[in-house]
Amino acid sequence: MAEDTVIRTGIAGLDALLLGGIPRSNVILVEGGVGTGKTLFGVEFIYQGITQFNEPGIIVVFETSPAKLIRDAAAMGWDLPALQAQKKLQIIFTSPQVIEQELRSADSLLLEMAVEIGAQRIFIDGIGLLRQASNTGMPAPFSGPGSYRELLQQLIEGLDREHLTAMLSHEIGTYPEAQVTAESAGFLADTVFLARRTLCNRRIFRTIEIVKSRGQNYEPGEHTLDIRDGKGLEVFRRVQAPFRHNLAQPTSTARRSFVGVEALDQLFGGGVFDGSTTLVAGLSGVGKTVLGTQILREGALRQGKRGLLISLDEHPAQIARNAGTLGLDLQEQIDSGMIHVLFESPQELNIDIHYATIINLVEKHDIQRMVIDGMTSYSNALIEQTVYRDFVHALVAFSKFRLMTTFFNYENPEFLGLSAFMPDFPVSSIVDNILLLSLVEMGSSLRRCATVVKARGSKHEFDSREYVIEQGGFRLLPFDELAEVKPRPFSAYSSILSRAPTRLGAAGTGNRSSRSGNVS
Amino acid sequence: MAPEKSTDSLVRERLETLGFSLLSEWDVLAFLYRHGTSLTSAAQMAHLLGDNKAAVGAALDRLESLGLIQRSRGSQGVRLYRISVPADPLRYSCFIELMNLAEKREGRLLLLKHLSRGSLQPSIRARGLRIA
Repeated sequence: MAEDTVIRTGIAGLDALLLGGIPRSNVILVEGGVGTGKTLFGVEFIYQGITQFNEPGIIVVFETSPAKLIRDAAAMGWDLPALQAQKKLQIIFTSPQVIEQELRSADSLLLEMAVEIGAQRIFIDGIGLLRQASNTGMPAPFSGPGSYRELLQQLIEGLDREHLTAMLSHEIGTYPEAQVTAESAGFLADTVFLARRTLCNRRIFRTIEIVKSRGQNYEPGEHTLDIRDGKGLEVFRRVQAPFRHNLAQPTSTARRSFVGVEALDQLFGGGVFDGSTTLVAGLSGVGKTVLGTQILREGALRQGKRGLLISLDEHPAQIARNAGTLGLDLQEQIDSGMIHVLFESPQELNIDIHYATIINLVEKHDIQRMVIDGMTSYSNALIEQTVYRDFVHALVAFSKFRLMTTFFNYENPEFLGLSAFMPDFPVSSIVDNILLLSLVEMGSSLRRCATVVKARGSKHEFDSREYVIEQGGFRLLPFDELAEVKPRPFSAYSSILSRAPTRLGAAGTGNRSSRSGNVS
Repeated sequence: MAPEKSTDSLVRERLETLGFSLLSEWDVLAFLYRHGTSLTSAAQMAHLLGDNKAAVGAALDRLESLGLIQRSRGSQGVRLYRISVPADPLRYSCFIELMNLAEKREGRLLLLKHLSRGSLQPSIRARGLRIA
């Protein structure tokens, strides 16, 4: 759409969802209940219009005190009095009755003022109050919703005549009359935003949905609306597949070492492809976080790839300390800017904002290796499986689009053996590789076991291999390292992963060559 | 001199400098100061202030003649009313001091003491002063 035919809201993140902006003549309606951010939405529309696009504007309020409006705007960093002094903004306090007669009047004072300051935008807060003006006390069709709709039509007509792009806010109450009037406004408006405020697990989530917008395409669905002190509103696109124009997916045939451990790379059939996604699943304590640290260090130190560690479980300081005890200096790489860390508490996680933060970090620092330490924490925080799946799908698509190699650590809840890779929220089908880290009970000791169960495009090995976490980190034990001592190596057993390892006869230690997997 | 007496005389002097003496005039001025530009009628303002239309109309006339408010032409019975901050530095400082004073209950009581109720019934609480 041509630049001059659209009006940009200037609200961070929103215009991208509107694919640039709203057709200039559209009447915009913001509907929502109490506390959804309607007034702030309208005020920012006017404020950004003036400050970003030099389009003067008018704010009309019926119930809100202009002084409070100015105060609340100041908390967002918007200096409305300064704009009023520059004659780019006019805040008008009036009543629904007056606005009703004003916009029908040929010599309207409101519209005269609009001309006076060259207004191109107008925000009328609480348009639903116009139903008071339509309540004439006469029987239908002279009063009630029918006449309210006529009143709105007259209002829209008047605004359109003066080439004002209008944003109207309309509260949605639970009583029937409010619902009927909101419906009328929704039918008449060209662009309708629906703001919601939802209580979920004692947390508040604000969202905005573009219900309709005549004359344009837009990103449908419920997106996060965040109110940020000192900054204003920001809309975060709901986590989903990338924007339509980003559908092409590059691929790479370059393989990279996993953690610089050759034996582990061999299990994967020769390392992992650039741009691949790997699920590292295992019980708590098997060394997933240590492995994640090594993955990032390998990328940073030997491959020159910047890394990002996303932790929802452990604080970065603790991860760095623990890595340090194994001789893995993570802090040095963090300080040098080769490894970045994003830590967020799962209790306050808003997945749309979190996803946007990841995208921004990856793009800003040109991240090429990413480790997400704590997929289980996402599943606990998100509750809804569809949202969780959307997030993982989006992350995988984004990783692949950038040829970024990504590792997901997942804590499998099963102690010995397992019945599913991800029993609570199964998304293992969308990753390219799966490395299973298990604990195996052998006699009276627990031993660690690594198995590559999936490696797309690779002739990987299906051997279960014992590994240790020691100074220097993850080390895969050679097949025969412990052959002459007890306990015996895994190759001396069958059913390692089935909770019931069975010791083979002496011949069972051989015949390794038959265990390679097919290209999957 | 006790601080209260000093403030008392200060209020009297400021009101004299600005030139109004009725409670209804103060109420209207405070209403417009709080609400900024108002597109309304004297009757609606009187309704919101809990005063009568005649008193508010007279107050608007008086405030306009004192240069403290601006009124647009009339249209459909309403006008645009705006505060007109005095250009004269002395009157400006009086105006701001009184508005700041009215932010506190003690200040409002002092204003009430110095302003005549005029037609306002004692039982009616002036909203601009927020006595209640």
